[in-house]
Amino acid sequence: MTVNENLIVVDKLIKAYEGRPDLALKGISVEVKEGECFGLLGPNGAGKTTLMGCLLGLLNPDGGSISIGGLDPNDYAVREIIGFLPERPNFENWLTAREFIEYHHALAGGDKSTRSKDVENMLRRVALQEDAWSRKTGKFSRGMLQRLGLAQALIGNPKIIFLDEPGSGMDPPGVTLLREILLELKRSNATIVLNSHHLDEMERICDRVAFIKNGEIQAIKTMSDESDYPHVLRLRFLPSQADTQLQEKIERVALATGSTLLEFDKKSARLAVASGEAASKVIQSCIENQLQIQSASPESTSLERLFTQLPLPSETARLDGHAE
Amino acid sequence: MLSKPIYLQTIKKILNHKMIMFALIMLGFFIPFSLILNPQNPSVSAVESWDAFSISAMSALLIVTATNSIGTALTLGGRSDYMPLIVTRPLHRFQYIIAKWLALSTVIIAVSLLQQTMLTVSGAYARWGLTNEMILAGFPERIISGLSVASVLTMIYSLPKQSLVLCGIIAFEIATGISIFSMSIAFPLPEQTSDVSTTIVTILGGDQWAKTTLLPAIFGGRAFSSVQQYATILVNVANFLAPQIHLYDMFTAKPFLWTPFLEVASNMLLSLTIASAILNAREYHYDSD
Repeated sequence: MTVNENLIVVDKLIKAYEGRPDLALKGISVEVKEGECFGLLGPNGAGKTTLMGCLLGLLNPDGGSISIGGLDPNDYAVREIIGFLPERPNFENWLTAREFIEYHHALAGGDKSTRSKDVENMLRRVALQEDAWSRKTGKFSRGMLQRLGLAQALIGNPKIIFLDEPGSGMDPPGVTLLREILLELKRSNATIVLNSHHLDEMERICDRVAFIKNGEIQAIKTMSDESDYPHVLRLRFLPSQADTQLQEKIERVALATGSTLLEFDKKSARLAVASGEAASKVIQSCIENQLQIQSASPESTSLERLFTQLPLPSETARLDGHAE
Repeated sequence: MLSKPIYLQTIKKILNHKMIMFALIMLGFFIPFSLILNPQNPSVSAVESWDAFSISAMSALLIVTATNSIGTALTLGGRSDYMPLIVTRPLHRFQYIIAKWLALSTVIIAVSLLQQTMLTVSGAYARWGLTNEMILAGFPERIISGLSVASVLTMIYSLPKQSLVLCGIIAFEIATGISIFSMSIAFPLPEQTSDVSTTIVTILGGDQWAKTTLLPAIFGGRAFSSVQQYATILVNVANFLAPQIHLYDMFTAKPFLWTPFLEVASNMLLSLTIASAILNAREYHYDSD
């Protein structure tokens, strides 16, 4: 397989379903670079899973093209380097966890001599309790199935990993573990396509996130630029602070830093800031004005605003997006 | 060519399925035992009773698989299954089909040969008047039948919807019935008619009445030829889905003809090709978006 800077190239992809008046995908174009973690975000029915199905060669597009490393998604060489976790893990419930991963190790073309060791390492990596290894998967909880599914996706060391809601049904330690595994994969230069509703997970892991709605990409956001986007800064003041001029001071801070005071009470204030730099200035100015800040945090992340369709007016212009 | 993991996994799955195992044990051992213990079989001739084993085995196996299909359809809605995890693996789709076919064949042939061995060793066949050559011919015949039945079942199981799978199984059962028992159908079928049954129907005047009165009254003047054409198609389809091969007859016939063997071989190839084509063309929905 030839190595492209753009490992996955989707060009004007169209997909229709029988009996549905609207197209599921309306000419989507997107590129994913090698070693990149690319997120798909959007409401239910937006077309994220359809896009992922087309990328995996599970669904046949009605128009447009997909190439992975210059090859068709159904090419044998592509299947050798991909791993996939579906949203709803629906595994063969009569197999034990160990048998299931051994089966997929064999299907992925893994070396038989190292199978047992590889499988055990993988089950440990996803932190599946050892006493569950010999239990039939039909008796697993959703979170355990998700861990097992992740092990299945990662067995064989794939170079491209497609994950559909990997954190779904996982307990908090599971979500933390998932994040660590994904960051580890990123460090190993694996390419990840992640479909998730966990916005914080997306923000921490993804390099770019595409917002899909009604079968179209509304915007593609580069996460490294996150601090440059306008957001609401929430300031909380120490409860002991009895400053009668608190509101006056915070209004002065807002004026001096070019931000807008949206809301104020004796314990907290909400300010609309234009960027991360502006937020920093606000905090600095508060300190200079002897305001005792207990905490300062963005009220909502930029992805949350994008997801809930409430972007600040000035933000939409800054999204480096593909409005189609 | 053969995907060993899929092959072994499929055999394990079949052996792990309680209903299928129950049916296989019943067919493989219970029926032969009952016949061994009760050697007098007054109404059925030796060769016919031997044929009846194949058909009863197939029918019962299919009833079990149909039951399984209904259960699967109800629980999974025919949409989410584990196929997406398989087809995204480095595996050609025809390899998957070949592995499934051989696994299914292995189980069917194993049970069928065990049954044949039991009947041979117990002397049941000898008591029914089968010669040693006939009995010996039964072994490869059962292997060929097993491969053939498994190829058609593999094709049926590759269909994209549970409802289609179910229809396919029912069609297969009907076809098997027609292929084996076509001689009992009242109107004459091309090349499938038993002389005895035709004679009985002719003596009673049933065929003339059907030709000249019943069929024209229901379907119009050219009804009989239409029925004949339909019956020909039906028998051809039945022969495709459940082809019969009788090796002893084949090798003792003069002149010797390869046609039955070629027919079975071509049907197997065709079934497996169709199954691979379906698997290549179908879509795999792992979740409703």
